[in-house]
Amino acid sequence: MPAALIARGIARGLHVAASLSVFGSALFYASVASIALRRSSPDTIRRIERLTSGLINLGLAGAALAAVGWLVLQSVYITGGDDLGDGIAVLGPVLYETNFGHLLVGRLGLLLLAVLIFGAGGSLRRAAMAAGVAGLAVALEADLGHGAAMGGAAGHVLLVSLVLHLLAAGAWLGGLAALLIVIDAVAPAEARKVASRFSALGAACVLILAATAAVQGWLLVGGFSGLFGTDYGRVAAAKLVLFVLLLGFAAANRFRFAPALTGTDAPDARRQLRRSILAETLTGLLVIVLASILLNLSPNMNMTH
Amino acid sequence: MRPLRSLLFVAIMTLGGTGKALAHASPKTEDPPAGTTVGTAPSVVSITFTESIEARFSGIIVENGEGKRVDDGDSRPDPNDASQLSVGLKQPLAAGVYTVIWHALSTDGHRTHGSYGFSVAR
Repeated sequence: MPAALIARGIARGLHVAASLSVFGSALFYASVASIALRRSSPDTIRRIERLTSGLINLGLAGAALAAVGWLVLQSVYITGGDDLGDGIAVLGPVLYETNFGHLLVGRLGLLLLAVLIFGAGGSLRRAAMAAGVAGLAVALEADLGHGAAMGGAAGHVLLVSLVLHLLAAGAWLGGLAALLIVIDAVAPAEARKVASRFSALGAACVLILAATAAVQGWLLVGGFSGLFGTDYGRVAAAKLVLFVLLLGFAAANRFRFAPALTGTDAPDARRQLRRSILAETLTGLLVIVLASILLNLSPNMNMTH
Repeated sequence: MRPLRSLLFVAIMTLGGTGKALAHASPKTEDPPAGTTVGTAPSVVSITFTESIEARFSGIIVENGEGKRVDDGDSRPDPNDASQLSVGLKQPLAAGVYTVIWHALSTDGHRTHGSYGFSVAR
């Protein structure tokens, strides 16, 4: 597998992961953290607001930095060569004359708007609005998918399924770091409630992810031959393993660590839950990067008559 | 065995990722059609791709049997169809074999290239 393709996939993956984090954090704050905020002390609430706001700002900065890297690597790719100078020479046209460039600028603009709306936290209504705007930025990523370029009925099905796939990934994986902040800050009983509600949201997201990925797979691959003995198949298999690992972390959080928060050894349960969520976050990041590398790979391709 | 293979496929595609297998622009129709012999020399060669393309980073070159370019070097998109690209020819083609070499950047950001031939009858 060419190193340039992997580098492009990593840059894209980091950009998408950071975008998902902005969306997922704002959504988590508005829909899940609210149940703990109502029963927490002013100091705890201020701490959660400050850290969540910092996390969302960090997400925007990460998305912008990764976008620059992705833009440069995509420009080099578009020239058909591997010369960095050639790629930099076409940065302007790539940014201003292609769908890729327009979407990149548009998505970053929406993420910036979401961060401004969220502000320093403290308003659930503003957090919900920020989640909506960031969700639009995440959904626009689907316009770089095959469905949007293909058009027609199948193209529209692919486009809608990719939008749902991205939003589900954002609501689940993008909210993990914000979950970590709240679990760490609130009383054990509140932390358990928050973890349980997030698990319910995560389960719904997993179902959407599975259904939409199946739709994408059937419509785009359509058979086994492209999956075995190819880079595409190997990356898809690695992603499968990591996805199963993610489900394992989620199940452990839901059925083991979260219930233990109200048990006899709450401090230890909180430590274990924190470690598990952190591992889930890092695994989720790897899954997103592998998904982005997959988007640059294709089995069964024959472009020449 | 077949149900098992199908289940495995669903598992990989469901949990393993969104596919991108056939997700690049390739010629859907060509004018003149690929591999054919035309009786009347064309003045334009055009390709309709399977996806919409970025005209700024896509192009068509037409060469004669001696490898010399016979196109006018100005690949143009169809203003009414984002998936179509065409190039004019310098002068009416003489009888012979021609090669069309194309490259395309689809609007989903993927680059493809290829070639095909057609002939002009005497």
